[in-house]
Amino acid sequence: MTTTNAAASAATALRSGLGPAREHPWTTAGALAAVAVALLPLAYLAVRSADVGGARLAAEILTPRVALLTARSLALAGLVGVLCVGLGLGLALLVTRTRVPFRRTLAVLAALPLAVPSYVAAYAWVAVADLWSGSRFDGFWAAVVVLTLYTYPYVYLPVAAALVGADPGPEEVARSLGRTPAETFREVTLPRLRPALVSGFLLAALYVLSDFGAVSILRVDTFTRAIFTALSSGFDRVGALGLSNVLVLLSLGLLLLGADRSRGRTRYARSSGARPPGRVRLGRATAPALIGAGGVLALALGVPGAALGRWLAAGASRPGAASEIAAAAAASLGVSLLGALLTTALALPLGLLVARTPTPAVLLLERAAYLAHSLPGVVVGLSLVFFGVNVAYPLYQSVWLLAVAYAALFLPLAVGAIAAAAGQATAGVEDAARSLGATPGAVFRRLTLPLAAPGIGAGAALVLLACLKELPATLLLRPTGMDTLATRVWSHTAVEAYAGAAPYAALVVLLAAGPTWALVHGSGLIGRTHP
Amino acid sequence: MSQVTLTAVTKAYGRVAALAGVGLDVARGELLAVLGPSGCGKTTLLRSLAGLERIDGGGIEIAGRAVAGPGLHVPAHRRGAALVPQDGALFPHLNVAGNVGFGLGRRPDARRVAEVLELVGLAGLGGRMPHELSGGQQQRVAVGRALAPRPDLILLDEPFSALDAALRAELRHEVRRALRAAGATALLVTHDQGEALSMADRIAVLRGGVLRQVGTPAEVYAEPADAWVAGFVGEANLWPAEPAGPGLYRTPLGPVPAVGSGGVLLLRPERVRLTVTDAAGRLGPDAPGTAGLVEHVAYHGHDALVTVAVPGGRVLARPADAAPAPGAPVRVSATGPGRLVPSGADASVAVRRGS
Repeated sequence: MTTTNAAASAATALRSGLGPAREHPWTTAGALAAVAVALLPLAYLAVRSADVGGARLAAEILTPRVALLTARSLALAGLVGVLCVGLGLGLALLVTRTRVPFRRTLAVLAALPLAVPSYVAAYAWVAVADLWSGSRFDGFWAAVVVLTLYTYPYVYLPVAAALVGADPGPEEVARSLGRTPAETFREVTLPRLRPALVSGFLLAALYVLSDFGAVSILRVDTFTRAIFTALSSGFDRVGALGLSNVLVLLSLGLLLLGADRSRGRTRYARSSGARPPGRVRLGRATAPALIGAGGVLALALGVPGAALGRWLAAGASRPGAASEIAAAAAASLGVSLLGALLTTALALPLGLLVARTPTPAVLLLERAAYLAHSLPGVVVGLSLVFFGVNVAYPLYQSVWLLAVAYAALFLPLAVGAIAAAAGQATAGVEDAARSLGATPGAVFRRLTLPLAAPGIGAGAALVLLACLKELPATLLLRPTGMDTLATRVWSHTAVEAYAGAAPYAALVVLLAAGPTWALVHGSGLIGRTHP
Repeated sequence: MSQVTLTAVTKAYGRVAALAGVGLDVARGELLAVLGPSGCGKTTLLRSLAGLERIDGGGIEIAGRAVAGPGLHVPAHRRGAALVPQDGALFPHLNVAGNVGFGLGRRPDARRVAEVLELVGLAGLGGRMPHELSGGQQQRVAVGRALAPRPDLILLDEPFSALDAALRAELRHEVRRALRAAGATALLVTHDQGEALSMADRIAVLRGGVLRQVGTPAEVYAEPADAWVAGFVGEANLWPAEPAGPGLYRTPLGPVPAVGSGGVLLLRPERVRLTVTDAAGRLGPDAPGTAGLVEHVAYHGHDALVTVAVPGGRVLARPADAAPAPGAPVRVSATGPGRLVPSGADASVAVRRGS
């Protein structure tokens, strides 16, 4: 009771200072609770670090090995980021600004690699390469190839959406003032795409920095793999803690860089151009463009397709496979449902606040939730392992702690969906209801909740699918003996049991296809394409 | 001497003809307004001039140089026709000076930029970014950006439609002044007859991809080419022209003299006198005109448009002094001659305003 009172009074304090006070204190208290959960991993990491002490941590961090890890992690993230920008921009231009044959098909296919989690992609490449080559497909360059092919949609989708949604006016004006099409692209189109390109690069780099599945299967020593190995096979907690601190600093650095850029001096207002942008005929460049784009997609989608096609039947018909698959699917579903429920419950008050009273304090809370989202899953898992062992031992190795990890990682997915839906219930509608005699409780029950319901459902579904795909935190926090679809793919691939991994990989890809489709649809790439 | 010449220009989208043989001359230094309802083809005409659309037939010359014709399509960047789009379409990543200097090549002449900013009333604002400007200022930048390289032609695509009424009037005046001071040749596309009448040297009325009339604002208003044009460029009483004596035509106002030729009689509302009477319809022994009742008053501040129900139809009047209240008994009479205009292809429009 005392904690809720404290939360409520904190909420009152927060409101009284800032902005219009329209929200019930419980809503604000709930939002604070959500942010507390989201920040728990980061906070406890700081607590543990303080316990261990700066001197011991420095001794762990200031070593040639950590320097090498830093260099390798940053090189991988930077290189993949740059390649993603090239690939994403090229494909986005091809499908939005040219008359290339099969344009709309290409537009959809180019987003599909997003549906392949990095550990499934790595598994597929390792497995397919095993068919032809004696040596195992792994190492730095293997990771560059795999991560680029499955990360570039983070650049492709926002850039393509920007190109489709952009008002063609400025480009037409530039042409009318004597600029050639190429000059117009360089001087007008590209600068307008810069925010999308920069944020796409940072997103891709952040993703690579936090990726665990691909680098661990491809045996590249980056921070995430080193942290996991230190903890799970070396029981080197201090070492893992030191590495985590460096990785968090690198991630936050990238995040701050992005926040700084996106808040730049120019707002790139987009008008809803009624006219579609002009599309150029490729002429003699058609064949090379088609072959290049087709080649990329053939590699990105063909390799997983080939791996599953080759091994799915064999993997599913192994003795005992059916019951093992059923058990893993049930475990995945159970723990993911729990995670989705907890996350949605936590996200609901914050989402409502963001949509209805976006005061500076509320937006700060939202940003805090996003901060945790950008932490690597390995770090979240590690911090909660410490938290479970030292503070909440009854929760340690229980599904509840895993659900908390999911909530910390995926809270923004639900907050965003709920805020978007709740934004439809504007203050005007609610004022009208109040003027007709409805109490605040009745307004919430009869207007706010029904209007936000689709968003709550969509947010919960997004979180559910993200939980089903999650690997590193699941590996670290799952109860002993529990296996999920994701951990099965990972463990089978580790022992080169490619057939064994195939059914699990297929199920994961199938589940991830849903949100990918929603993303493609939402980008306007399909709906707003004109002949 | 004509700066722009269009000869029998045709353009179709699928089976829909947007331009069905448009021929038009724009003189050097002239501001010509292409006026028409939405979907009349005026935007297609502007984009064809800019080189953003490829015409199907006919030819276009700008500054004595053929830019479009059979087998010829000079691309947009080599036409010397600068565009001022509806919403300004400023380059969001360049400041005001950068926008204005955009057409001046790699190293824009700072003096020219300052001169143009002065011309459009934005002196000293060169360092602002587009999002820091009001809507009216953004449109001024767009006009300055088009003026700066002294193009052969400036194309204005409904450039004031996104602004509020007061600002629109002010900006029309200022843009007209800036264009004239620069000696620029300009083509303005608009659906707003007030805009066309108040700004243009000449007006080309476009409907269904066909030019209905080209003339000065006064000509188009006073001597419209047909009944549809008469109704489109302003409020009009339009009645079937039935002779009622030499040079006289029967109207609900009684016989009215008219000049011109055609099957429809046009009488502008400002040519109708309106006198308030007592309930019995008396004002005095010499009360002129036909008795009627005020049906509707659209008050505009500077004047009002009054609809009067009379035996045999309705009459629109625009009294200069105070407007009567709805329901008031009045007498209406013609103060000047009407004009006979052809009914045109669409006779239905002819009776839209009148009986």
